[in-house]
Amino acid sequence: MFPPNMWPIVRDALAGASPAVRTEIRLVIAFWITLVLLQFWDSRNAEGPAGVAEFLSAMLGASGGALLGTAHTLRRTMEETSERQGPNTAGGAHTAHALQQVLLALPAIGFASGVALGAAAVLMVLRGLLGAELLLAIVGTVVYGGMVVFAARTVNSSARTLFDYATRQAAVAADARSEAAAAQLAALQARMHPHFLFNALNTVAALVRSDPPAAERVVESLSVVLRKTLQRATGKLSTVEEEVEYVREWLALEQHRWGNRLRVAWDVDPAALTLEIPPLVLQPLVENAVKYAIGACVEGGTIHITVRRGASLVVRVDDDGEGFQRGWREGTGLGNLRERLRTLYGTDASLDVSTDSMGAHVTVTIPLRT
Amino acid sequence: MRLLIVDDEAHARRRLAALIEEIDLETADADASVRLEIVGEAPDGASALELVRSTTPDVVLLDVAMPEVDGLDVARHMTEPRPLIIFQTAYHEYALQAFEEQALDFLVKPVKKDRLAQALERARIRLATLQKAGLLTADGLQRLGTALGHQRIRPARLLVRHGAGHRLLPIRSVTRFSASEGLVRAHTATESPVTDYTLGELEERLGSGFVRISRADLVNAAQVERIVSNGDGSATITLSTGEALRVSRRRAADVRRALESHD
Repeated sequence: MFPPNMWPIVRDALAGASPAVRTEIRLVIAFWITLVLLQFWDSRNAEGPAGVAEFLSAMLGASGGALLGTAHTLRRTMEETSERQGPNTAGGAHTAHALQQVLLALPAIGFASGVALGAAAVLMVLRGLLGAELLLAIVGTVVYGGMVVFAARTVNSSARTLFDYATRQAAVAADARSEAAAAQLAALQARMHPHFLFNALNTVAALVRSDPPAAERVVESLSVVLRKTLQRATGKLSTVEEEVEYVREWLALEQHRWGNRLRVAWDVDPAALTLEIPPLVLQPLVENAVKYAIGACVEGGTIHITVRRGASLVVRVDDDGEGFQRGWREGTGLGNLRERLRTLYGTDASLDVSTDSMGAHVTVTIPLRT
Repeated sequence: MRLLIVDDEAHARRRLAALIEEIDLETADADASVRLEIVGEAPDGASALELVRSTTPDVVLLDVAMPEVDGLDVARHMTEPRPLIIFQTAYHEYALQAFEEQALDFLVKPVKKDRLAQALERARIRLATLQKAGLLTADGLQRLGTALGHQRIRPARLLVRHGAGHRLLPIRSVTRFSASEGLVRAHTATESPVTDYTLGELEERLGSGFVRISRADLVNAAQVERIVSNGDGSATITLSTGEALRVSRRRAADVRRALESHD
């Protein structure tokens, strides 16, 4: 009935159902078994056209009842699950998609059960008209009629559940989009800060007479950085290779400002180059290290940039500065990045900072995607 | 007029020197008595202070944003005879008008030649009329830094007095700062040099790694062994060096909270 990826979520939903819903499910199953047994007991000595009608009615009633029971059970458990989880939380897009499919299947199952039960009720009426066991026929018609009404209600309420779910999901998606957009914009603004441009222009002005080829290179690096920054405004995912390239150009600009006080060591796993990474993940980490480790000490320092592909994509920036102070509070650069990672990956991505006698370490872990 | 150039960027120093040379040649044609002479170039704040003492320039062209000891620190620690200061800053031209009264001038980077010539001319007039540079108070420099949008990074080392000048002391080695008889001292395991900063300034610059325990003491949180209540609301802190210090009643609760957040 369901594609295989829906089974786990149905199983989890049943396992996590509340005691009230579990009791309800048991009652539904008991009712269905009673109904089937009664039907077959009733049709034990049926004969002629009335017997055929009775037999068909029994088959349709049993299958319609099974479908209705399934639809009802699913609806109750799914309602609980979707309220408990919300569409875009920890389970991630995969679970949300399966949940959505189960919810979409509900009205269809409810409708099918309604049709089967309706046919069963009609056959019961027919059987009554054909004159076999009138009292049982009336009872059967009433029972099936009641079940048809119940099926209609199930269709109605599962449609409503689906609508609520869709509304909630749309709201969450809109929130996530606007949060991601705001974080992205803030990150971009930080990159395009006038200070950064002034520093670069200042370097060009200083170099243009003493070392024209160097001035030329600064202008080239600046235009690469600006172009790539603007491209990032689209918010699309980037690759590790593009980000590394971007940071190399950015560092080329910084290098002119800091001279030999800024020393950089790269260690990039070639297997990681094609992996997806959100734009402006690596650069804020490096900028932070330059600002706090190199900026705190006249002798400057060394920044190690490591990119590894393992079970996840790991981006790590180490410096040999004083490190994060005790009681340190996260600045806007790292705070922004943390927020963006949360909206993009939920709990699957992480940003960790630590300090030891060597200096400060910042590590970002992102799920593997190519 | 004797000039000292202070900028951490080598290119920027070279460019400023070249511009000054050009201005000197141009003005010398008109008035040979006004010559510009560069007496030194410093790549950082500590060497700038050394050069101010050893070369006694008339004017310092002082970059604000430099690592560890920034331009504001240099202005704060300059000893007599104090030169006139022309600050160089990356932006916020208009925010600075309020400070021009204090015989300070400002150049926005990248420095324009005309503007540099104008600033040097103003300095010449001030020197000729024997106007002294206003003494920059800690408070005035604080306001100046704010107006400049200057962000101070917690430095690795701090200026302390050394003979008639200054040297850099690693902050990590400091167990506590104390104020007594008008002097603020930085205490390490082996020495206790005097610093020109007030305890309030140090508290602000060093952030949460240092905790103010009384009017007279600022201690390194990493050096605190234990804190014991005295029963009267005050407390006693024992440092890793064995020194015992009293935590004032007013601050005891804050100090406990600050030390707890560090563990």
